Amino acid sequence: MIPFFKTLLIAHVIFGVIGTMAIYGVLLATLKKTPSLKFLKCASLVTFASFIISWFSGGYYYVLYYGDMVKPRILAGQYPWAHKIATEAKEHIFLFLPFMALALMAVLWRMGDQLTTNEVLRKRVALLAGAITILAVFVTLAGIVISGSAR
Amino acid sequence: MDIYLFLIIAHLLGTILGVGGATFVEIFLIRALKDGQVNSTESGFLKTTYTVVRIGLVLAILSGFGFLLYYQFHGQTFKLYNPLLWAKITMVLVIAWNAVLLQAHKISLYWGSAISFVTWYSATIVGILLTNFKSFSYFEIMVTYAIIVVVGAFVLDRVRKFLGVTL
Repeated sequence: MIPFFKTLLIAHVIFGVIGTMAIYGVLLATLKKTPSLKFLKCASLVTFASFIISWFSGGYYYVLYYGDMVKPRILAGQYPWAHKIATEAKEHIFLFLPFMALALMAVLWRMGDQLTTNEVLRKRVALLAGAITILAVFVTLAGIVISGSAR
Repeated sequence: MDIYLFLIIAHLLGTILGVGGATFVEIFLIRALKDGQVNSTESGFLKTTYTVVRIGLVLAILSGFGFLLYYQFHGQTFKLYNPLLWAKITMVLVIAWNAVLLQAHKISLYWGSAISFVTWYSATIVGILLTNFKSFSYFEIMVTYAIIVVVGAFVLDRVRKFLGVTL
Protein backbone atom coordinates (compact mmCIF):
# COMPACT_ATOMS: atom_id res chain seq x y z
CA MET A 1 0.00 0.00 0.00
CA ILE A 2 1.42 3.39 -0.96
CA PRO A 3 1.72 6.09 1.77
CA PHE A 4 -1.21 8.07 0.30
CA PHE A 5 -3.67 5.22 0.84
CA LYS A 6 -2.15 4.47 4.24
CA THR A 7 -2.77 8.09 5.24
CA LEU A 8 -6.37 7.88 3.99
CA LEU A 9 -6.98 4.69 5.95
CA ILE A 10 -5.40 6.12 9.12
CA ALA A 11 -7.51 9.29 8.80
CA HIS A 12 -10.66 7.21 8.16
CA VAL A 13 -10.12 5.05 11.25
CA ILE A 14 -8.82 7.66 13.70
CA PHE A 15 -11.38 10.37 12.83
CA GLY A 16 -14.14 7.76 12.83
CA VAL A 17 -13.14 6.71 16.35
CA ILE A 18 -12.82 10.36 17.50
CA GLY A 19 -16.31 11.07 16.10
CA THR A 20 -17.72 8.01 17.86
CA MET A 21 -16.17 9.04 21.18
CA ALA A 22 -17.44 12.62 20.74
CA ILE A 23 -21.03 11.51 20.02
CA TYR A 24 -20.81 9.20 23.04
CA GLY A 25 -19.79 12.28 25.05
CA VAL A 26 -22.87 14.11 23.72
CA LEU A 27 -25.05 11.16 24.75
CA LEU A 28 -23.63 11.10 28.29
CA ALA A 29 -23.96 14.88 28.65
CA THR A 30 -27.59 14.99 27.46
CA LEU A 31 -28.48 12.39 30.11
CA LYS A 32 -27.43 14.86 32.84
CA LYS A 33 -30.15 17.00 34.42
CA THR A 34 -28.18 20.19 33.71
CA PRO A 35 -26.02 19.49 30.66
CA SER A 36 -23.20 21.89 29.79
CA LEU A 37 -24.26 23.64 26.58
CA LYS A 38 -20.68 24.68 25.82
CA PHE A 39 -19.56 21.04 25.97
CA LEU A 40 -22.53 19.84 23.91
CA LYS A 41 -21.91 22.39 21.15
CA CYS A 42 -18.19 21.62 21.06
CA ALA A 43 -18.67 17.81 21.13
CA SER A 44 -21.38 17.88 18.43
CA LEU A 45 -19.10 20.00 16.23
CA VAL A 46 -16.19 17.57 16.77
CA THR A 47 -18.54 14.67 15.93
CA PHE A 48 -19.71 16.23 12.68
CA ALA A 49 -16.23 17.40 11.59
CA SER A 50 -14.68 14.00 12.42
CA PHE A 51 -17.37 12.06 10.57
CA ILE A 52 -16.95 14.29 7.51
CA ILE A 53 -13.17 13.78 7.46
CA SER A 54 -13.65 10.01 8.00
CA TRP A 55 -16.33 10.03 5.29
CA PHE A 56 -14.19 11.63 2.60
CA SER A 57 -10.97 9.79 3.44
CA GLY A 58 -12.81 6.45 3.69
CA GLY A 59 -14.81 7.11 0.54
CA TYR A 60 -11.72 8.03 -1.44
CA TYR A 61 -9.88 4.94 -0.15
CA TYR A 62 -12.90 2.76 -0.95
CA VAL A 63 -13.22 3.99 -4.54
CA LEU A 64 -9.52 4.06 -5.45
CA TYR A 65 -8.05 1.19 -3.43
CA TYR A 66 -10.51 -1.11 -1.65
CA GLY A 67 -12.56 -2.10 -4.71
CA ASP A 68 -9.57 -3.22 -6.79
CA MET A 69 -7.07 -4.36 -4.16
CA VAL A 70 -8.88 -5.48 -1.01
CA LYS A 71 -12.35 -6.65 -2.06
CA PRO A 72 -11.10 -9.44 -4.42
CA ARG A 73 -8.81 -10.74 -1.64
CA ILE A 74 -11.68 -10.88 0.85
CA LEU A 75 -14.05 -12.56 -1.62
CA ALA A 76 -11.41 -15.18 -2.50
CA GLY A 77 -10.45 -15.75 1.13
CA GLN A 78 -11.90 -17.61 4.09
CA TYR A 79 -14.34 -14.88 5.09
CA PRO A 80 -16.19 -13.62 1.98
CA TRP A 81 -19.19 -12.75 4.18
CA ALA A 82 -17.07 -9.97 5.67
CA HIS A 83 -17.50 -8.05 2.42
CA LYS A 84 -20.95 -9.33 1.51
CA ILE A 85 -22.45 -8.45 4.90
CA ALA A 86 -20.14 -6.14 6.87
CA THR A 87 -18.94 -3.90 4.02
CA GLU A 88 -22.35 -3.72 2.36
CA ALA A 89 -24.03 -2.76 5.64
CA LYS A 90 -21.24 -0.41 6.62
CA GLU A 91 -21.15 1.54 3.36
CA HIS A 92 -24.88 2.29 3.57
CA ILE A 93 -24.96 3.32 7.24
CA PHE A 94 -21.73 5.24 6.65
CA LEU A 95 -23.53 7.35 4.03
CA PHE A 96 -26.06 8.92 6.36
CA LEU A 97 -24.11 9.11 9.64
CA PRO A 98 -22.66 12.61 8.94
CA PHE A 99 -26.16 13.89 8.13
CA MET A 100 -27.51 12.57 11.42
CA ALA A 101 -24.56 14.26 13.16
CA LEU A 102 -25.30 17.49 11.26
CA ALA A 103 -28.97 17.39 12.34
CA LEU A 104 -27.93 16.87 15.96
CA MET A 105 -25.40 19.70 15.78
CA ALA A 106 -27.99 22.04 14.24
CA VAL A 107 -30.48 21.30 17.03
CA LEU A 108 -27.87 21.82 19.75
CA TRP A 109 -26.49 25.05 18.27
CA ARG A 110 -29.94 26.56 17.56
CA MET A 111 -32.04 25.21 20.45
CA GLY A 112 -29.46 23.99 22.95
CA ASP A 113 -30.37 26.70 25.49
CA GLN A 114 -33.82 25.07 25.87
CA LEU A 115 -32.39 21.70 26.94
CA THR A 116 -32.59 22.40 30.68
CA THR A 117 -36.21 23.63 30.51
CA ASN A 118 -37.62 21.46 27.71
CA GLU A 119 -37.56 17.84 28.95
CA VAL A 120 -39.07 16.46 25.71
CA LEU A 121 -36.34 18.13 23.63
CA ARG A 122 -33.60 16.81 25.95
CA LYS A 123 -34.94 13.26 25.70
CA ARG A 124 -35.19 13.43 21.89
CA VAL A 125 -31.69 14.84 21.58
CA ALA A 126 -30.47 11.99 23.84
CA LEU A 127 -32.35 9.50 21.66
CA LEU A 128 -30.77 10.87 18.46
CA ALA A 129 -27.32 10.90 20.08
CA GLY A 130 -27.90 7.31 21.26
CA ALA A 131 -28.94 6.18 17.77
CA ILE A 132 -25.85 7.82 16.20
CA THR A 133 -23.61 6.24 18.87
CA ILE A 134 -25.00 2.73 18.26
CA LEU A 135 -24.64 3.08 14.47
CA ALA A 136 -21.13 4.52 14.80
CA VAL A 137 -20.08 1.63 17.06
CA PHE A 138 -21.56 -0.85 14.58
CA VAL A 139 -19.67 0.78 11.69
CA THR A 140 -16.45 0.71 13.76
CA LEU A 141 -16.82 -2.99 14.60
CA ALA A 142 -17.67 -3.75 10.95
CA GLY A 143 -14.43 -1.99 9.98
CA ILE A 144 -12.43 -4.33 12.23
CA VAL A 145 -14.22 -7.38 10.79
CA ILE A 146 -13.51 -6.22 7.23
CA SER A 147 -9.84 -5.46 7.94
CA GLY A 148 -9.36 -8.84 9.64
CA SER A 149 -10.78 -10.71 6.67
CA ALA A 150 -8.32 -9.24 4.14
CA ARG A 151 -5.38 -11.64 4.38
CA MET B 1 10.55 6.66 18.60
CA ASP B 2 9.30 3.44 17.07
CA ILE B 3 5.53 3.69 16.43
CA TYR B 4 4.86 0.30 18.05
CA LEU B 5 6.66 1.35 21.24
CA PHE B 6 4.71 4.63 21.23
CA LEU B 7 1.43 2.68 20.95
CA ILE B 8 2.41 0.36 23.82
CA ILE B 9 3.27 3.33 26.05
CA ALA B 10 0.01 5.15 25.16
CA HIS B 11 -2.06 1.99 25.70
CA LEU B 12 -0.38 1.27 29.05
CA LEU B 13 -0.87 4.88 30.19
CA GLY B 14 -4.56 4.71 29.24
CA THR B 15 -4.97 1.41 31.07
CA ILE B 16 -3.16 2.69 34.17
CA LEU B 17 -5.35 5.81 34.29
CA GLY B 18 -8.51 3.78 33.65
CA VAL B 19 -7.86 0.99 36.16
CA GLY B 20 -6.41 3.37 38.74
CA GLY B 21 -9.29 5.80 38.25
CA ALA B 22 -11.92 3.04 38.52
CA THR B 23 -10.27 1.85 41.75
CA PHE B 24 -10.25 5.33 43.26
CA VAL B 25 -13.86 5.98 42.19
CA GLU B 26 -14.79 2.95 44.31
CA ILE B 27 -12.63 4.11 47.24
CA PHE B 28 -13.95 7.70 47.12
CA LEU B 29 -17.52 6.42 46.78
CA ILE B 30 -17.17 4.25 49.89
CA ARG B 31 -15.63 7.14 51.84
CA ALA B 32 -18.23 9.61 50.56
CA LEU B 33 -21.19 7.40 51.40
CA LYS B 34 -19.95 6.55 54.89
CA ASP B 35 -21.98 9.39 56.41
CA GLY B 36 -24.92 8.77 54.05
CA GLN B 37 -24.42 11.85 51.85
CA VAL B 38 -21.93 13.14 49.28
CA ASN B 39 -20.71 16.67 50.15
CA SER B 40 -19.26 19.13 47.64
CA THR B 41 -15.61 18.20 48.37
CA GLU B 42 -16.35 14.49 47.94
CA SER B 43 -18.35 15.23 44.80
CA GLY B 44 -15.37 17.22 43.46
CA PHE B 45 -13.01 14.29 44.09
CA LEU B 46 -15.39 11.91 42.33
CA LYS B 47 -15.80 14.21 39.31
CA THR B 48 -12.03 14.61 38.97
CA THR B 49 -11.53 10.86 39.19
CA TYR B 50 -14.24 10.24 36.58
CA THR B 51 -12.38 12.68 34.30
CA VAL B 52 -9.16 10.67 34.81
CA VAL B 53 -11.04 7.44 33.94
CA ARG B 54 -12.43 9.04 30.76
CA ILE B 55 -8.97 10.30 29.72
CA GLY B 56 -7.67 6.76 30.28
CA LEU B 57 -10.49 5.29 28.21
CA VAL B 58 -9.87 7.71 25.32
CA LEU B 59 -6.11 6.99 25.37
CA ALA B 60 -6.65 3.23 25.53
CA ILE B 61 -9.21 3.25 22.68
CA LEU B 62 -7.17 5.50 20.37
CA SER B 63 -3.96 3.52 20.93
CA GLY B 64 -5.97 0.28 20.59
CA PHE B 65 -7.09 1.35 17.12
CA GLY B 66 -3.49 2.37 16.47
CA PHE B 67 -2.55 -1.28 17.09
CA LEU B 68 -5.25 -2.46 14.68
CA LEU B 69 -3.85 -0.14 11.98
CA TYR B 70 -0.34 -1.35 12.77
CA TYR B 71 -1.46 -4.98 12.25
CA GLN B 72 -3.14 -3.94 8.99
CA PHE B 73 0.05 -2.38 7.61
CA HIS B 74 2.33 -5.19 8.80
CA GLY B 75 0.46 -8.17 7.36
CA GLN B 76 -0.91 -9.31 10.73
CA THR B 77 -4.63 -8.89 10.05
CA PHE B 78 -5.25 -12.44 11.34
CA LYS B 79 -4.83 -10.92 14.84
CA LEU B 80 -8.07 -8.99 14.32
CA TYR B 81 -10.03 -12.27 14.54
CA ASN B 82 -8.48 -13.29 17.86
CA PRO B 83 -11.35 -14.12 20.30
CA LEU B 84 -9.42 -12.41 23.10
CA LEU B 85 -9.40 -9.14 21.13
CA TRP B 86 -13.19 -9.37 20.67
CA ALA B 87 -13.64 -10.18 24.36
CA LYS B 88 -11.65 -7.07 25.19
CA ILE B 89 -13.69 -4.96 22.74
CA THR B 90 -16.88 -6.32 24.33
CA MET B 91 -15.61 -5.30 27.77
CA VAL B 92 -14.80 -1.77 26.58
CA LEU B 93 -18.36 -1.55 25.19
CA VAL B 94 -19.69 -2.81 28.55
CA ILE B 95 -17.75 -0.03 30.34
CA ALA B 96 -19.23 2.56 27.95
CA TRP B 97 -22.80 1.20 28.14
CA ASN B 98 -22.60 0.91 31.94
CA ALA B 99 -21.64 4.61 32.16
CA VAL B 100 -24.74 5.48 30.07
CA LEU B 101 -26.98 3.41 32.36
CA LEU B 102 -25.43 4.97 35.47
CA GLN B 103 -25.88 8.48 34.08
CA ALA B 104 -29.52 7.75 33.17
CA HIS B 105 -30.12 6.15 36.62
CA LYS B 106 -31.25 2.95 34.89
CA ILE B 107 -28.92 0.69 36.87
CA SER B 108 -28.40 0.40 40.63
CA LEU B 109 -25.12 1.54 42.16
CA TYR B 110 -24.69 -2.06 43.43
CA TRP B 111 -24.34 -3.38 39.87
CA GLY B 112 -23.11 -0.21 38.16
CA SER B 113 -20.06 0.30 40.36
CA ALA B 114 -19.23 -3.44 40.37
CA ILE B 115 -19.47 -3.68 36.57
CA SER B 116 -17.22 -0.65 36.10
CA PHE B 117 -14.65 -1.81 38.67
CA VAL B 118 -14.53 -5.46 37.58
CA THR B 119 -14.64 -4.74 33.84
CA TRP B 120 -11.63 -2.41 33.92
CA TYR B 121 -9.57 -5.11 35.66
CA SER B 122 -10.95 -7.87 33.39
CA ALA B 123 -10.12 -5.90 30.21
CA THR B 124 -6.59 -5.34 31.52
CA ILE B 125 -6.11 -9.06 32.27
CA VAL B 126 -7.49 -10.02 28.84
CA GLY B 127 -5.07 -7.50 27.30
CA ILE B 128 -2.17 -9.20 29.12
CA LEU B 129 -3.35 -12.65 27.92
CA LEU B 130 -3.58 -11.22 24.39
CA THR B 131 -0.02 -9.88 24.55
CA ASN B 132 1.25 -13.24 25.78
CA PHE B 133 -0.48 -15.19 22.98
CA LYS B 134 -2.69 -17.21 25.33
CA SER B 135 -5.51 -19.09 23.65
CA PHE B 136 -9.08 -19.03 24.98
CA SER B 137 -12.42 -19.00 23.23
CA TYR B 138 -14.68 -15.92 23.32
CA PHE B 139 -17.28 -17.97 25.22
CA GLU B 140 -14.78 -19.08 27.90
CA ILE B 141 -13.64 -15.51 28.50
CA MET B 142 -17.14 -14.02 28.62
CA VAL B 143 -18.58 -16.70 30.93
CA THR B 144 -15.61 -16.27 33.30
CA TYR B 145 -16.07 -12.50 33.11
CA ALA B 146 -19.81 -12.75 33.92
CA ILE B 147 -19.04 -14.93 36.97
CA ILE B 148 -16.34 -12.48 38.13
CA VAL B 149 -18.83 -9.57 37.82
CA VAL B 150 -21.37 -11.37 40.02
CA VAL B 151 -18.73 -12.41 42.58
CA GLY B 152 -17.13 -8.94 42.42
CA ALA B 153 -20.46 -7.22 43.09
CA PHE B 154 -21.02 -9.48 46.11
CA VAL B 155 -17.48 -8.93 47.48
CA LEU B 156 -17.67 -5.14 47.00
CA ASP B 157 -21.02 -5.11 48.81
CA ARG B 158 -19.54 -7.11 51.71
CA VAL B 159 -16.58 -4.70 51.90
CA ARG B 160 -18.99 -1.72 51.97
CA LYS B 161 -21.08 -3.35 54.69
CA PHE B 162 -17.94 -4.20 56.69
CA LEU B 163 -17.00 -0.51 56.51
CA GLY B 164 -20.52 0.52 57.54
CA VAL B 165 -21.59 1.90 54.15
CA THR B 166 -25.01 1.29 52.59
CA LEU B 167 -25.84 2.26 49.00
